[in-house]
Amino acid sequence: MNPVLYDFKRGILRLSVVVAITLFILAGAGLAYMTIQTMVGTKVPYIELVAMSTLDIETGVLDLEGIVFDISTMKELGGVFEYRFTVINISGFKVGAQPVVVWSTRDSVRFSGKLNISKNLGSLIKYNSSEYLYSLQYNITTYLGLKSGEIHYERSNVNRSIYCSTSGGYSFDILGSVETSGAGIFGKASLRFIKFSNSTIKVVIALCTPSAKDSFELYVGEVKTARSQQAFYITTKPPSLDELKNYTLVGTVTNGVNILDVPQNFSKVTQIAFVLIQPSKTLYVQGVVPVMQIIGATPYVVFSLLGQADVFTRFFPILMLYLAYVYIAKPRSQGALEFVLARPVTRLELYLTRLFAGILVVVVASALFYLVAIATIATIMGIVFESYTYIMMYLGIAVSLMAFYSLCYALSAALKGGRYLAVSIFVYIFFTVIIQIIISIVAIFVVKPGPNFVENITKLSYQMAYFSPLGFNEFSKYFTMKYYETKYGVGFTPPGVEDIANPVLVGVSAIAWIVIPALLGWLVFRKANLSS
Amino acid sequence: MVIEIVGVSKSFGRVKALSNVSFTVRNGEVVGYVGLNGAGKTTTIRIAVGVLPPDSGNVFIDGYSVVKEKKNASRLVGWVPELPIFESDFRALDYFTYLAGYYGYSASDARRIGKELLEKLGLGDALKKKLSEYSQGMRKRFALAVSLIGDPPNFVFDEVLNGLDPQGIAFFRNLAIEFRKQNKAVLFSSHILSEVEGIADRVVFIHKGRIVGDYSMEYIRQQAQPAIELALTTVDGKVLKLLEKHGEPVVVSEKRVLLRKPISDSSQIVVELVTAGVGVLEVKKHEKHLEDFFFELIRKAEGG
Repeated sequence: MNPVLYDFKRGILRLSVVVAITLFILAGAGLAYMTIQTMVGTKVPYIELVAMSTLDIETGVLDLEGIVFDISTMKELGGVFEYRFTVINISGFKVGAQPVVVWSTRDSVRFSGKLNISKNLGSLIKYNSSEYLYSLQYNITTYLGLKSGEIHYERSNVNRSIYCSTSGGYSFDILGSVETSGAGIFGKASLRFIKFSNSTIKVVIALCTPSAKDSFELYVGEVKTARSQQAFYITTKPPSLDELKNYTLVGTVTNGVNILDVPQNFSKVTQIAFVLIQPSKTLYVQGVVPVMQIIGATPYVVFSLLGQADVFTRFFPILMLYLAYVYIAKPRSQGALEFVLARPVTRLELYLTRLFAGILVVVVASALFYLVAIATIATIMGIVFESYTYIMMYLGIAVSLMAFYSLCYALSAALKGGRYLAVSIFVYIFFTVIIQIIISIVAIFVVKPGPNFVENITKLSYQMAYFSPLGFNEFSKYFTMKYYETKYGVGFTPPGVEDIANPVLVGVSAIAWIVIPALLGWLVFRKANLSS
Repeated sequence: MVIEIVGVSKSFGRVKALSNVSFTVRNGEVVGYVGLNGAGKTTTIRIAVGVLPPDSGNVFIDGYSVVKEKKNASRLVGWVPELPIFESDFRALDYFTYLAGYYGYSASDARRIGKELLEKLGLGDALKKKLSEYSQGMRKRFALAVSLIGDPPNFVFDEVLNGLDPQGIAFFRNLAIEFRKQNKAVLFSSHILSEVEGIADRVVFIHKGRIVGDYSMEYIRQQAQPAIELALTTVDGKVLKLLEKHGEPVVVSEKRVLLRKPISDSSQIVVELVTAGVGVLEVKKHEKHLEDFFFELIRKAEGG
């Protein structure tokens, strides 16, 4: 067996290393759960509710149907939905409320339910009343965050007095109603056009129609000239035939909440015209909506993950310290390396074999750490990061650990057993704790407090990162945040750091931190007496 | 099939361990390498097998320099150290497999060879035992098994008989003789000349890092002198002065003196020692004492 692979296998299969690798994996899972936990409790604008609710004042029955989804991917989410029907008088005082209803689902499915309005409240709901306002207050808790809101009912002008409401948020409500013979009254519609990727557009449309059997055909087309967003209207007049030539039939829309894919490339389109046509061709809904480039939860999950990862990555160098002890320092202090060196192998090969074996462990352990974290997040939250994020996060931890391993390896080549452990532990504490203290002292006595104090300390921290084997991880986090800031305009990178975080210098520094200690270690090892 | 040590010098800090050491071990020859503890035997051997770089000089194994062509040289020489040290938290067969990897064997071949060799050397029941659980004798057998990978034509045994039971001693002595029959070159170090008596064709003597003699065993036997070996309760200047009247005393260890070229009878010497208040624990009379030859060399090397 190739000695590098054998050393790798041996390194991996040591009980202590297996325990450490298991810790990496558990840390990955822990990281994912900490990230999810952070997201669940955060009120953020990247989940959306589209709900359609009707209230029949004659029967007192409230129907509710809706979906919760990540607005960037349109992926439906599961979670806990709490809602409460409230009646408020025109002065703004709450005059009655149903008890809170909790409805939850583990999978990403639609929720729907009925709520029988109590007699007390029912008495307040009167036909054609203008004394009271009705609303549904809700709280949705998902893995992607928390959403709270309120949807207000507006009365439809039908003989059963149906009150209709759709959610607010990014949707575009089509207000108004048209009475048509035989078709009843069209109450209300909510439309969303979301740019999902460069070539796909999803439509979410909620319709409130007098009968559950009512349906419409949805056509969409490009807008040639800019038109006002307010151009929503319900009409009995059909659109011109010329206009309809450029439209594409997307599908059928029924009463309630609908999601449709628009199979057309609208990558360069900023506005889309739509027409809803009732099969009886007696009612039309027409309008123009903008294509929205909406940032979903992904950047926030990435930021959260990067922040939480610190808890774990600070402890990983201890494994590197131990690995160098296992590979060189311990066998060297025992005198066991001599017996290996008596084989057909040069000192340089022996040195490099164990160096690379340790680096292979770093490569695998770091990969496992983030793979577990990312897989857990993908499974639970449905968030799949962009490849740039994967690469930067992985490189951040892997390169830093390689650099620290290289440093420990050099120390293990120069120092035996106990001395190695003492010095390497000091080095670990130095680069994780003492360096921060030095920065604070320098900040107080050199930078001096002032208007740009925080900015200057941050800059100093990044400057110092060049002088730490673990510094690459800081820069990788910075570059990841910068990527999202540039691409989506979310998050913020510390001011003044752009000039310091030079990608070329960061790369050179990382390579130097890996190569130079290993090289210095070799200069000691090549002549070292390996006897105990 | 030859081990050539050419002008090797080595210092550890200020201590000169070896000074211009040169000698050769030829095919089908067992060469004893004899010196007191700390004389430089192990240092010479560590340099010869390529685990310690010399300050100057070189060692050639079948013409390959251990300094410049180490891999080729190491492939051609087996080494059993006095106290073999392994990464001992591994199981024997696994560690054998790992080391065999350096000889280019695949894992399956290495395991097969490992099983064969370890079973042949009496370690068949301990293949899966951790090396830390091995006794000293087992460790030496394991080291020998590893050294036999590739059947090298040259062997170096460093104080290999130390700490072994009679069965172990016989095993390694017979092995050296067997290797000679196979036309291998064998270097066999010891701090006791009589230990290599039955096996060595030639003996190279080292003292304080210098080669002080290189003689055939036959010549050494011829030169051996009678001697009286005494185990005493005290060995000090007064005792040595008393013994000088009866021959040439050499301190062998803390309480053991070898009286070379005795001119008095042993009973007379014992009487005088007891009269002087020195307890005599043991008296051994050697008609021809090999060590005497060795001590004579040392005495001459020190200008005596």
